[in-house]
Amino acid sequence: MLIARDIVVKHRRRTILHGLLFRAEAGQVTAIIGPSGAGKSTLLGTLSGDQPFEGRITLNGRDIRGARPAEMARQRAVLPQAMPMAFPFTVAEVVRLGLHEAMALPHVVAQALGRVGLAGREAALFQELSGGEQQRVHLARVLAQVWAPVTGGAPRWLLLDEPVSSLDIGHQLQVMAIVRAFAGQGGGVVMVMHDLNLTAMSADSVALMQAGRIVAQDRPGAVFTDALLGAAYGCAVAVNRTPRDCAYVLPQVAGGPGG
Amino acid sequence: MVAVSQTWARAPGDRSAAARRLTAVLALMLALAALAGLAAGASGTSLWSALADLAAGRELSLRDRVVLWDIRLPRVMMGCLVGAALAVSGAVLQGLFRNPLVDPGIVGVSAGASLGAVVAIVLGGSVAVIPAQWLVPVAAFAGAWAATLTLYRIATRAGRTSVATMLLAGIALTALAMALTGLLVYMADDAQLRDFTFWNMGSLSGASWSKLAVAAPLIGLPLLAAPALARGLNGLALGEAAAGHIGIEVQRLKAAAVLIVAAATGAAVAVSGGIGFVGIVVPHLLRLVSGPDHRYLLPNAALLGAALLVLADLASRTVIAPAELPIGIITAVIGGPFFLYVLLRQRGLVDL
Ligand SMILES: Nc1ncnc2c1ncn2[C@@H]1O[C@H](COP(=O)(O)OP(=O)(O)OP(=O)(O)O)[C@@H](O)[C@H]1O
Ligand SMILES: [Mg+2]
Repeated sequence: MLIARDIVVKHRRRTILHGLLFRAEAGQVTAIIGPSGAGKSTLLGTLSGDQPFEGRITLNGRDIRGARPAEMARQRAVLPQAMPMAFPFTVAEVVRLGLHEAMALPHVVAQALGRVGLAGREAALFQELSGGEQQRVHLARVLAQVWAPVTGGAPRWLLLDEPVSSLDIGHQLQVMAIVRAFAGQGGGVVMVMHDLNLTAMSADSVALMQAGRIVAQDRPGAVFTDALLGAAYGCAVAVNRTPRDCAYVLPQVAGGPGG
Repeated sequence: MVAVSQTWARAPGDRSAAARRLTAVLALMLALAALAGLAAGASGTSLWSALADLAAGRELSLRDRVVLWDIRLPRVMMGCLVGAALAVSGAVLQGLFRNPLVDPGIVGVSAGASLGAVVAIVLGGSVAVIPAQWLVPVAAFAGAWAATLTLYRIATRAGRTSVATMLLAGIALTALAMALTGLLVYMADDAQLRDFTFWNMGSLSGASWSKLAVAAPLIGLPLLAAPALARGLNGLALGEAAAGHIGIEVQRLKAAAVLIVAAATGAAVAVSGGIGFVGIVVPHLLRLVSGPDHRYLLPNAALLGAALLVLADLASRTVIAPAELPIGIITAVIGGPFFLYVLLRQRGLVDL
């Protein structure tokens, strides 16, 4: 269980997060959605322990404040939104970065790369890959860091900031399948998403953010309504349901060919 | 060879086997460079005939003993220490700033060390707390430390380093340190001026066993400590936040890196004056051959830096023998164009 209560985050004088409550269960995929600048990355970064905050965050029942980086690293891995990379490391070396010497088994690296569809690319230089390939290498790195979704009875966590933002539909679905499998084996997943349809298809719980607040957190069917999404995103959103009651959204472009 | 290729087959993209082989090659190269440094010199003494004398059980002539034991050997060892210190400082600074263009001489760390050394030479007489032979190196360490910290504070915001700010801040720091150095030299009396000029020539010619006894611990300790930074510096390549996510104590790592660089550069500058570009050339060459993994880069940089500086020193005392060329001129003639080449190759990546 990952619980964040009364979280306030300020940058200089500006308040970015206004005392919000967020919770995520192990064994589930929890998505954070909302317009650009709503504070999604700030919330994920705060859950990752990146910045000072007011309030209280517990991961698997333990306060993250004052936890040592090495201890946190064993329990959760983080995929940031932007990933700079200095120096010409190979793909295999990047994936290995999150591993301790003792755990750095070649098969973990190869299997993690296989899962994200990059099998056989170990020796390529990271900096010579495409944007989407780089994103998947980092995903493989993060997966390798928390390879077993449950260790010693405690769930491990993936905190992912827009893990599919540079990917085509095939790789988007592949990543969603990875994330579902991780949760299915008892791990916890928190991911920031922009694609509403992928979110509705893959998440067990959705937190909708707007202007530094969580305006709703519930199962996708309850959050995906014309009123909630329309108000948060500030545009007309028509929510439909598939026959199996999965919500989907068709954006309405004024004057577009669809009329 | 069979074992090596099997390792490769099991872990493609892992260059650690190549890096370890490189370590062996570099160690051999250093041994050969050291032998050459012992064998060659302005005097007619021959290492080989001396060795032949020893092998035959004959006493060495006093002259041979002085040249080999009291002049060449400390000088070669000092070259090893200084070269290793400069190369490792460069590699650590580059890892800290996540940029291959950083060199202690370019970003003002060496200038800070020089200022510290000059302060010690000119004002040192009034400070009796530290024994005289330690005063200059310790002051150089303090100067290098202050310069590195200032540089990091200026160039890094929220865990990101601006290359432009860093290089410009390095220019400003160097200019400031040189102006203050000039002021102190102006204030100095004749004896101090002689000390300063001798030191400022930037060569290994003053190497002696007593200087070595001071420099060895000051340089050796940071060199031994540097490999402990390796995993942290690797993680730092992802940026500060992500380094924290994989379990690295980022603040502690940065503080340790700054201290190690300051100690190694400070001591190197104190004993040999300013020798530039070793810190940029050596790590860059090694990354080309065996990749940027600091677990291998740091020890290999120590070996290659030592070998190159011993060879540069050999060139400095043989090219126009019996006179000597300052070694800083030799490293600059090789390193300056090399730096420009790296800069040009980086131009696409570094947004100046
Ligand atoms: N380091 C910072 N200093 C000052 N303001 C910041 C900082 N980081 C974020 N902000 C501000 O906080 C707000 C929320 O930013 P955040 O990155 O969390 O948005 P987001 O919801 O992830 O947006 P996007 O979908 O575009 O990634 C923004 O208005 C941003 O300007
Ligand atoms: Mg964001």
